[in-house]
Amino acid sequence: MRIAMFAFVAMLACSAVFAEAMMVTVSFESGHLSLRHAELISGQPQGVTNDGPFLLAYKKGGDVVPATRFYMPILVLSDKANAAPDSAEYTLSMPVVQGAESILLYNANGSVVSALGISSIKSAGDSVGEAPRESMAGKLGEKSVAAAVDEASGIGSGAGQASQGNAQGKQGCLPLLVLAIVGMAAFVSRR
Amino acid sequence: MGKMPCSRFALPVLLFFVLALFAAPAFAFISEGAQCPGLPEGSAERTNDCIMVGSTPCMASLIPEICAGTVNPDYPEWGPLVWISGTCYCPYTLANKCYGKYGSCPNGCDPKTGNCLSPPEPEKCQNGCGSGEAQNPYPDCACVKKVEEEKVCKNTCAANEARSAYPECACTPISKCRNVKCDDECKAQVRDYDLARTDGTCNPQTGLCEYSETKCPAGACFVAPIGKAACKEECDNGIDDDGNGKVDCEDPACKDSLYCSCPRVATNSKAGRSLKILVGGWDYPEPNAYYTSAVRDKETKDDAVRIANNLFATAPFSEFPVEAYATRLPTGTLGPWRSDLLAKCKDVGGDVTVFVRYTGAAPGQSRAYSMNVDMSKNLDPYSPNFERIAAHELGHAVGGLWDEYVISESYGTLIGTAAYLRDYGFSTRANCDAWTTLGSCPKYFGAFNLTSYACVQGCSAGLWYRSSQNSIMNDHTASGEFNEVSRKILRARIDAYLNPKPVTMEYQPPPVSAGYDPSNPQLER
Repeated sequence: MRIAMFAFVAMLACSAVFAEAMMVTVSFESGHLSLRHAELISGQPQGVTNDGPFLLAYKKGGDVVPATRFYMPILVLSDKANAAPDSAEYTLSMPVVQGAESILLYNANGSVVSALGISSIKSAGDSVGEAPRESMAGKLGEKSVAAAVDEASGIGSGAGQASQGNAQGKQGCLPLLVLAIVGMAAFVSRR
Repeated sequence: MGKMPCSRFALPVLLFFVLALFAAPAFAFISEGAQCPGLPEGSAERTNDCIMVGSTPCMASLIPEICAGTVNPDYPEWGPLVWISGTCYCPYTLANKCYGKYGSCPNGCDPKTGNCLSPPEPEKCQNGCGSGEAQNPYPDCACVKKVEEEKVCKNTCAANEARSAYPECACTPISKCRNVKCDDECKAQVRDYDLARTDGTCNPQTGLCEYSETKCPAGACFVAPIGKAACKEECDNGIDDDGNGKVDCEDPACKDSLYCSCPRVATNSKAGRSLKILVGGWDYPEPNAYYTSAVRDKETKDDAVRIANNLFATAPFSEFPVEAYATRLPTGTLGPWRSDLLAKCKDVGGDVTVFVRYTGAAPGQSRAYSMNVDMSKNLDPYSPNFERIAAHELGHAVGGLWDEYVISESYGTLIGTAAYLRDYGFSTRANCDAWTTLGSCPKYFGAFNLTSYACVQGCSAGLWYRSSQNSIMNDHTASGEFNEVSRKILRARIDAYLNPKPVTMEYQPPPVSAGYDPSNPQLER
């Protein structure tokens, strides 16, 4: 039991210290929702919630893994008027599901309205789709939001550095992960 | 007998006299080799020729006893006369080179060289004196104690000359660059930038140092221990200000700048998972001598703290753990987007992003449920309205709350949005009773299980109703509080983030209708 607890804690610690997040941008154009962009970033994912009519999920093999629900922020509330423009984008970050092939977007009726393949995303800074229109990357014609921000801030290769640091972190965490897996296996076999 | 001696000498004297009479006018040389017997025996002069200088001077010396040793007073330089063979000669020697110089040499003449003789050497003191004593002149020769001489230069030099140190005391022309050191320095300018002055050289014409000058913001110039003057690194100008080869965020000096980091600036220290509010400043006024990167950092941090502190005191945010983080984004034409802030502060993972723009005075604007606020610092920067505007916008961004004040429907922006309200869920949980009638208002607000409520017409549209007369969503200058409906909606929304239920695939049927749309009676609640 102690071994199993240690293994569980080790797994949690590894995932916390070396967290990655999938930053996803959903686009609304003339009444249609779609997945516009996904990028793997190092660091903590934004809080996820089961609140909202729309759902983002990962497709991994034959499974669908729910990630987060959300509201699509269409209505613009200002002192002039409450407007509902024809276009909107919303970016959130959610936990990563290792090995997932794509991200699925479900509408309020439970139907998949958009899918975005993420197999090419391997490390922090990798992205698919087009960067958010109003982001620095979108205005610079770049794909990586993180790289564009670093570039605009005068940081050499922020995404690369983050990726490298993360990779090193994973290597350092590997023994703990192996230990955790062995411990869990031992616990299961005893039972 | 007495006459006999006289008579006996009378004849020779007479003969001599007669002969002398005939010989007197003439000079006669004694034959060569004749001796001058009047000179001392063995002297060189004795062997030289003698000159009979004439009879006249010798006339008085015809008598040998008178002649010999007599000096002709008219020619004393001739020396004593001599009597030779009955004739009185005035001796003259060719070797006597003092001929003609008698009288012109006060100390006598050296007959060998004809040079005047030197005066006799003075007498010298024979006694010695000690090192600290001085001796009086001869013949006193007494030793007296030396008087210590003052070791200062007593000479004066011209105005364009410099005097060397004692005891040299030499006067040399002054160089204007002499002793002038042109070390790097910082020069403060009144009401302007400071100057970092480097690579100084002395101008020999003026004696003044001439430098390469670099403008630094006021107070940002420093002289490094190695003596090099430079500006402190400005962390957001794209320039290597301090000359260490590292620009902006690459420079370790900028690690704490908000331009290069996303630090936590405020927390209400409640236990549990915090709602993370990430404040990003952008679009700052043009930098100047005093509006530096550090000032922009401080301004942004202070504003983030103001926003956070207001939330710490405003329900329902005050009921949850809340943390505020702050950063700055590049200024320019590239207006930042929520994704930029999340990417920059990826280690923070902010739940809500708040952009504060520092130029212009655009009012706050947010999309419902966007989890993002856009507001301008300059709209009302120095009153509580700044943080109240932030809270108001957070009501939109987090809770999807409507404005509770009446806005003109003449814009027509709500026409046709009923489908959005229905399909995108905005009417399932709204702080306004939308598109309804006064009769349905109690039914709508009653479903919230409120302590009390009102039905005040005018909530984002003339036919809508709000639940209170005043609230921060109606008029942030009149009230800083969310009304009870808004608090309930926000509380549920924040709780959904901080204490999330497992995300499920469960189908959530959309609301049937957004309410009554006067333009489309079919969309009735």
